[in-house]
Amino acid sequence: MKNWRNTVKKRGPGSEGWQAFLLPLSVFLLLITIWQLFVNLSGIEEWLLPGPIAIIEALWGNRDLMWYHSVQTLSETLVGLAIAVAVGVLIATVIESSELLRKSFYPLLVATQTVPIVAVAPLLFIWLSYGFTHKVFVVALVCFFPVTISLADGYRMVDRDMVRYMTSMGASPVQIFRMVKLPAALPSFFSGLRIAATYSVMGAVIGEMIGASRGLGIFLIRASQSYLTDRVFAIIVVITLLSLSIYAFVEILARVMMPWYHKQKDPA
Amino acid sequence: MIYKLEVRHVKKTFATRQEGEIVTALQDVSLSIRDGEFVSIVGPSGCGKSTLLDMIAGLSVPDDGDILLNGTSIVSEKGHVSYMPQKDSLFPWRTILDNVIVPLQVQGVRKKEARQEALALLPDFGLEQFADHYPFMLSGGMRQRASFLRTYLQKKDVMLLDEPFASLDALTRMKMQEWLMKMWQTFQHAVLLVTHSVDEALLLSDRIYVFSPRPGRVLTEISVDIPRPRAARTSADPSFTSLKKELLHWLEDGISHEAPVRKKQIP
Repeated sequence: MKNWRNTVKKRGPGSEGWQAFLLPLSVFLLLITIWQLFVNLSGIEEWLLPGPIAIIEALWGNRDLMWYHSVQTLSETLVGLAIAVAVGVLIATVIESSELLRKSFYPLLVATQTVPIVAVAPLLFIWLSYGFTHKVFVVALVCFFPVTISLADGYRMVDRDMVRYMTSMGASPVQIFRMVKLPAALPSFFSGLRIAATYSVMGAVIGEMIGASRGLGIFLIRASQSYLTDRVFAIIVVITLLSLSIYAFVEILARVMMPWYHKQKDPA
Repeated sequence: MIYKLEVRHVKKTFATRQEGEIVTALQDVSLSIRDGEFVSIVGPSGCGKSTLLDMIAGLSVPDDGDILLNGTSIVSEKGHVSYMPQKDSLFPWRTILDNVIVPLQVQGVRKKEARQEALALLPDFGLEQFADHYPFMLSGGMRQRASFLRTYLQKKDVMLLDEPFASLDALTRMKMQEWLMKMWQTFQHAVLLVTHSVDEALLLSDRIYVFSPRPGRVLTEISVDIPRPRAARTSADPSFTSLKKELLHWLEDGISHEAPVRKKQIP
């Protein structure tokens, strides 16, 4: 028994990593198979519940349309996310520079986070009509709060002793910010950015649902109004894949920018 | 005579959170360190040792008195002395090499040149194989070495060490003390070490100031005339033990005078 354990351990984290990937994948495939079997055996109408095979066919059969709408949604998402990050970093940094500003604005920032953006999107539609800008605004609004608040909190979490140490050497406030506060805030910033990344595509899709001529959101509405259920599922798959890839991008960025943090978290 | 570092009649009080109550942390403290001398402050917790180091480092201002470096006042001025904080405070996002160059970067040295300079010093500090390691990968002793090298690279000829080995286990601590002695004999800085370990103070110092509990003041000053080089086994010498007795006597005396209530509780 002991020997067996040792050999498993000796294979190292690589094999465990595969296990962490293979196990959920097997469960996923199993669920898909059950779904397909249920559709085949029950004879349920396809407009009510299409099977996975039908969905994949719809996905592949409409690949040009899928691509056409995805490009729109993805560009809205990326521009909105970029604006949210730029404005969020700016505001979090400015309010960190002064105790008075922080005290005045931070509670408001936290409070506005509770405003449901889904409800604000129609208002933005009135102001901005149904163009590209409208969707970018919705995405930026959705992503702005997690980014700003996580960075503002990150600045607060800096180790006071490190700041004191820098001060004792005669370091300037700018040096202390660049060498201590900013890197110390990165982990918190990235956890906010991860949340923003998962919300971002949803923001664009909601914006498009309210009114658009192009994009996965309006494509989804049209498909559902035509009871093209297999296509609706296919679009959901595409939206999920988009969200996943943006999340993965943020994750890779985090690993590049904070190698120390991830080495510490999973010492491989 | 002009001392390297001189603390003259320094007093420091703090206002507590409870309204109006003022706590005296240091009450008329005077001490001096000659060039190249190793001096320790020994005292119980809360005797204001760290408060004193903060003031010498310019992090806080004394209510009264003066602090002189080479005869010139440095009160509330930062960057005159090398200061090694109690916690190693290494930056987790920097490798050991990039951690130790922080003081150089603060002084405006470019990263590349700073790295070259520090890289040449790593072997002397026993850190050559850890240049690219992050602090969390190192043992407590190695982290303190890195912290010490970082302090050394502040390049001031007075070093303040605030209980540098307090968090280490006994064996590592002993090794680090011997190591620090060797380093000090090579570099010949004036050192002010704060510790609450009597053995550590005796082993390392030329002179020891014994502090009383709060309000902190100098109870006595003891010269340690044990010949160098010393080693861990020096602590078994009769001269060492007699000095230790004297030190402990002062510390116990100081405590019993300051805490009469507690003394009554223990029959």
